[in-house]
Amino acid sequence: MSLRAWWTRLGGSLRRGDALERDMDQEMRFHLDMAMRRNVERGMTASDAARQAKLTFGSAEAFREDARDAHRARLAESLIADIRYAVRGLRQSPSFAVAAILTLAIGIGSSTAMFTVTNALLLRPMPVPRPDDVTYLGWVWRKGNEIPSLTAFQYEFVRDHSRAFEALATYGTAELQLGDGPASQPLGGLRVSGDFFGVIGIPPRLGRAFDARELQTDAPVVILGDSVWRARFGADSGILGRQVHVDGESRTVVGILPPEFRFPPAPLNTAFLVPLLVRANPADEGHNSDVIGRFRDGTPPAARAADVQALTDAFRAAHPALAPEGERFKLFTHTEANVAGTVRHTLWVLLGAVTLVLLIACANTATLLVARAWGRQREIAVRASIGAGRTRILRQLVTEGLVLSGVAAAIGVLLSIVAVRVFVALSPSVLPAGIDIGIDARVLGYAIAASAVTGVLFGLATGMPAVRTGLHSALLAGARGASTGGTRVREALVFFQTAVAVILLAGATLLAASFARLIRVDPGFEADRVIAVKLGRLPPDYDPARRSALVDRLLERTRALPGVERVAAAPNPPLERGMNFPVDVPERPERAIGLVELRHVSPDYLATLGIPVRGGRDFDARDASATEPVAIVNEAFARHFWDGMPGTGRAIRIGHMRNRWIVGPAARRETRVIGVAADIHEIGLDRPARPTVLIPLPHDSGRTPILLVRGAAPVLIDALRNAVLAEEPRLVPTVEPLSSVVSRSIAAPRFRTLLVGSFAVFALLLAGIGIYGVIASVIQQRHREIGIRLALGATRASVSAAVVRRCLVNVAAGAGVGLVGFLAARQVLGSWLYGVSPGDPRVLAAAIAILAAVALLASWIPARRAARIDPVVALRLE
Amino acid sequence: MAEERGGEVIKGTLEMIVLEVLQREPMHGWGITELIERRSGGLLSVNQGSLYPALYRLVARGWVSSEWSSTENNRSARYYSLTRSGRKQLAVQRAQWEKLSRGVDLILRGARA
Repeated sequence: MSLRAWWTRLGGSLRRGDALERDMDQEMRFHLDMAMRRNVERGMTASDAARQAKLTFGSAEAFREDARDAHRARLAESLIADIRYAVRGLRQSPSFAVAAILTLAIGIGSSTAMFTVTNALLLRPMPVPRPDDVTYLGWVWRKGNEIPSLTAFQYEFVRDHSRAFEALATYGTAELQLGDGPASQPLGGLRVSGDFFGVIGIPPRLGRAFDARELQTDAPVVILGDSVWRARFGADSGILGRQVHVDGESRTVVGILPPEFRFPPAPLNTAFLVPLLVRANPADEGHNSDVIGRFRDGTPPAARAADVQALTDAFRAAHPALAPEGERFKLFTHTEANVAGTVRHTLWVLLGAVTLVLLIACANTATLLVARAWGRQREIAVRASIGAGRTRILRQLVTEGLVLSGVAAAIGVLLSIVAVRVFVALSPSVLPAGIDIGIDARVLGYAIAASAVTGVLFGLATGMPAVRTGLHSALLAGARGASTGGTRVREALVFFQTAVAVILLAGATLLAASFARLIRVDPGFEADRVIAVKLGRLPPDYDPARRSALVDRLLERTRALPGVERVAAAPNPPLERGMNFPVDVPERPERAIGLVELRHVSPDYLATLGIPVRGGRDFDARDASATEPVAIVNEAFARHFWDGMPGTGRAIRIGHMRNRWIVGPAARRETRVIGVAADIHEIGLDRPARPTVLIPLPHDSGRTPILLVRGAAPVLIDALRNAVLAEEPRLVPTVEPLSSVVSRSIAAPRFRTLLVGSFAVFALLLAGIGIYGVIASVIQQRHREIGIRLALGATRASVSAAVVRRCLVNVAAGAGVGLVGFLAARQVLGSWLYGVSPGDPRVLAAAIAILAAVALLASWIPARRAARIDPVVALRLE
Repeated sequence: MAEERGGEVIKGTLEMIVLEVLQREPMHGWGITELIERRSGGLLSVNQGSLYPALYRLVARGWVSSEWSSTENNRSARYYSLTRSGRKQLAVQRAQWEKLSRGVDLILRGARA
């Protein structure tokens, strides 16, 4: 084809649709006008001339139709025509189309949803300008443990010594009350220090950042978030320089954040920024400063690494005690710093699981398409006989697959939007507050890629039999109406589906078995008999003294309630995040532990929770005021430090490690152990007890204690809430039995089990439908043959058994391969399982049994129909 | 009616005739109709319902190109012109036609004899 011709054609195909219609109209009008003019020249009246011209021209619509056809003939070799043809074909068999599209839409929808979440949490860069230059700073300890935060002292060192950073800042999230009066709700915001705006690369929209003096003196200033500024202050720019109440304190507004401000560790609608006072103290080795920095534009990775190394060297040279050999600074990405490793692992595994569902959905649709292709072999053969080439037909089938998957992808994306909401609503609180999980270009790309791949896959799966058998024989076979062709492809699909379903099913069954074991774990305390009362945020006018007075009064008041047996106070219920400190003992300092659970508890703590005392005694009223600090340790502690010897009477050193007092609750002196308590699952039902130290309240731990109330649980809940409100009406207490806390502590495994379980159920369902579909279509194809067999005296049972047997052989083979596949990949589940090994034969057998049951059911239903074929009818049909 | 004035162009030959007509100069659809009637001495008439689809087909194959321009009366019309490959195609078709018509002619004469 000459270039010019090609160009003409291209131009023509670009100018389609409306332009084409307009051109045609104009051309036709011109033609009519000319014909009319000639008629007038020949002496007709104007109206006769017009009528005659129209008659000669023929029906206007007929003309257009023909003209359009001519265009169509041209487009016949284009994708558009293929698509039109595919749509027409799908419309002709709506039940097939609906089944295929739904199957796929759910597959694409669920995987798009999972991908959306993964994308939002793991793949998307930080939503700031030049995100690649922003980094978190952390520390690596000698044993290789690392933490994406620094001590305040290290932060200041980095700030003063780094060369590669353009800006460095530290921040912490905070909840503060804005405005005053009972209506004011606590709002989420940030405390920041250093050049925070320099790091995020977005200046305040109005006003300015905090200056150095304000940051050093913790000055009463505030920068307001955009949404708060609009909602509370009517977007009034006159607010700058005015005073607002933050947590009962008057602060001057110095700036307003821009509306596009997004900083994932902070909540989405960050309400305020206030200065963060950095107290750099070399003795405080708590890694409590989240540090972010921005490299100078264009700093190559090597220069970044070199700067970090230089920082480590300089820090070690200046403070050898704080940085033993092997410890160092480390850069962390936004994702590493904000999304815990376990969450990352969970997301990848779930994404893998949902991809398996997508694969099954594809296989299922392919099964449907193959069955349909064989139903259509006559049509295909006819098209081949009038000159359609093999590639042409294959392309047509691929297009049909693409159209199917395209429609399914559109529905799937809608489904995924719903699914993401459900996911976020169900997921335990592991997601960083400020990440907005939305469908973005990358997610759409995933959906489109997924659907394109499946579309091509289907097309090929459908086309394969036609190409393999040869079109001529397809025509003959179609004419005979008895063919077993395509069966092999379908059987392969059954095999594949089963294999994939088994992988998911095995995983889900293991998780379910593990979860069942987890909920039977005895936490070590009596969760059903104890109610936890959390007081919530205390009003800003409560200082530590007033707080502990309130707790004392509440303990007394609740103890007096009918039905209450015992009452205690603690910083947090078991299984919820508590504090930890380094601890060692004078006789074995080398056994020091950096993270010992430390709890400030009131007298009666052990008795209230029903924790047995193994030696010594529980706290009583004297301990709080005793001149010598006292503590109770748990058995794990005694095992670690004293090899299980009685601990009562011995001394421990809280906050002491590496031969010095690092940090600790007030007094830097030895503490005497007065009792040893039984171990409880303090940090997780699936985790063994960690060495724990209890010390008596009141001790200013900086946080509001909770009340633990032992009694007849359900009836007490309202009474307890009323008791709290009677003491301080401004509180918003949370009252719940400890069993709820226990249940919440296993929210993550429950969520995983639920999610993988529902993927598995879905996979099973699809596999079942696939098996059903294959057997049903095989029977339909072999209708006549079965009729003949029956006529020749085969029993109905033997006929259906023969059909089912072939299919089940494939199911069994698929199950075998799937099982092997699962065993190969089982390690991904390893850390999720409690009390079950990932290769547990009984559990895997149960998974296979479930699959077998579904396969039998799915094949039995259509097989019954085979047995009901009436030979007379079957033979006469042809 | 058109039929009274002459026979319709035989299907399949229309494209060749159009190519032939366009060989001289670019022309709009109406002009092609008129020219065919005139040059066939009124023996042939073109059904416009076939002419335009045929033109579009020729355009699609790259034998004819089209563009809008104005007539002598200053009206806008779509002018069709022969492309280089259209010219080649015309030669091919003409040769085929001559072979065919000679053959048909021989058969018809033979039948009469």
